[in-house]
Amino acid sequence: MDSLDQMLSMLLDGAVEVLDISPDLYGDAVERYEEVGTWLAEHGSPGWQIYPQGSFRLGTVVRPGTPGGEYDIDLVCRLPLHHESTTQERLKQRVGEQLVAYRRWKKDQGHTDAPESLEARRRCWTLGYPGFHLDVLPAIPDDEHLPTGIRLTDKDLWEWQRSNPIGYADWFRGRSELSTRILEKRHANVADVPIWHVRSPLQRVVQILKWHCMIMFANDPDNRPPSILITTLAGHAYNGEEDLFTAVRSVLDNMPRFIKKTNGKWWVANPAHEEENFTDKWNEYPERREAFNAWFTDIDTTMSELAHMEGKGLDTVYERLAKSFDRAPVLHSYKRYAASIGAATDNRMGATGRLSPTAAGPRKPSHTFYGQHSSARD
Amino acid sequence: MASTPPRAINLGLQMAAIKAVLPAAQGTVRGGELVCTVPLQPTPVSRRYMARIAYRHRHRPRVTITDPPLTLHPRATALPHVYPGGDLCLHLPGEWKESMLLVRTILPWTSEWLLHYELWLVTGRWAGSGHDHAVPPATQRPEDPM
Repeated sequence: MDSLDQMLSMLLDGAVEVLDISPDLYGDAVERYEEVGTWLAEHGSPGWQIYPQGSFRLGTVVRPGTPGGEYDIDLVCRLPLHHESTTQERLKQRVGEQLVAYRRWKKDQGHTDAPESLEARRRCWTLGYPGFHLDVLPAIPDDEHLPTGIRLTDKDLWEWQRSNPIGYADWFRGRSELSTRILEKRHANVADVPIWHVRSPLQRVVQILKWHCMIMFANDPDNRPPSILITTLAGHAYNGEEDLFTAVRSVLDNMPRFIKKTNGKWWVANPAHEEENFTDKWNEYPERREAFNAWFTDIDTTMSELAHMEGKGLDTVYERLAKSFDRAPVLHSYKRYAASIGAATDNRMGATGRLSPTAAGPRKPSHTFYGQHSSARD
Repeated sequence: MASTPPRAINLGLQMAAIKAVLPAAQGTVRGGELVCTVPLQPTPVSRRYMARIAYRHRHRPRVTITDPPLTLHPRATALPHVYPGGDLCLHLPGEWKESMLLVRTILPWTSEWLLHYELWLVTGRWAGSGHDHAVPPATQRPEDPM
């Protein structure tokens, strides 16, 4: 490792990787919702579509820190109906009935992978599986924002909620591809699926910011800045940095510029649906804005302190990381690093004793740290 | 001055080779003994340590860390890979020979030892080669062992 930034990037990346969804669980989740989608299409619901939205689609999933914390996977269940030919209640009911029927069918077939639970929530139906749950949001096309705009139900609101998760994901992907490394990978792989095997620097930045926010507001979830707000601001503020720590610092530097005040109202627009304001609540509840500012100050201070820890010791950096994040994922990252250098045989030593595969100095021959001895000997 | 054994590298050459790679090294060869202090920082995050090497022909090179003082993992009672006198165990008998340059062997091994030492302070496990020196587990482990 040649620079402090590169080392901090490696340590942060190794920690947040622990919170990302594993390829196995990812595969399970895709298999489950594709089966639900196929079943719905084959059982008298032509034109129904199920597709992922939110962090699962964006590749910015972070496992909740609570014990047994499960991944939330948001799905849109889109029915080809006009908003004048149905109501929010009827749409929610219809999707629910189909999911009940699907679950019954799974059990009748004797399938062991049937959803363990099905319950109605404010905006969705939730199917429970081991390790994750699928939140199915009933939706219809938004004829004013075709082709990808949708209208969503919310049992507490009289008006349809509008959104555009596919448009948002396309925007986010475009921002991610400011990284030329990621853009080149995309061009090499043409398959148009939301699975991004290699996380982009922007995806990792968002995961780190969300992780910190989740921990900071573990006991105050009502005031926790929403993930979509953090993700949007990070997307705007990102400028294509390839190194993770450099990207985090730069995103934090630029972020405040994207919080606007329009006609006396705080405003951060949904990039895929300009009418939607992600800071709408700030105007009604000033404490939400204060909570965001407190979060921002904390993460910005953390990162700037880390940027000044050259020569302070790996153990001191560990304590600083553990203070702002969870101890366990940071420890995991350190162990991974220790294992990688334990196995490295290509290190050279530079002029200050620096070990690096790129240092100009002598190649280090293999040797074995000897055990403790009862007496010193030659 | 003591005579140089066959195939052993002359101490003056050893010292010159160290200074060529590590310009901050300071040392002398006097009375058949090379004594050298050199700052080593294995990575940009690691501390800058002062290592002292003392070496006579027909004896093992002895390396001690003079600054900053080495500390212990909270659950450890002793440093791993250290001789009772406090000098570092860097190699098995036979892995180092007098025909080798200190700057190509003992010094990079010392830097590597320091890197593993700081990681050991965090993880409680020596990840370098050599015998396992895991500290006893805490009563409540924060995580699973790797």
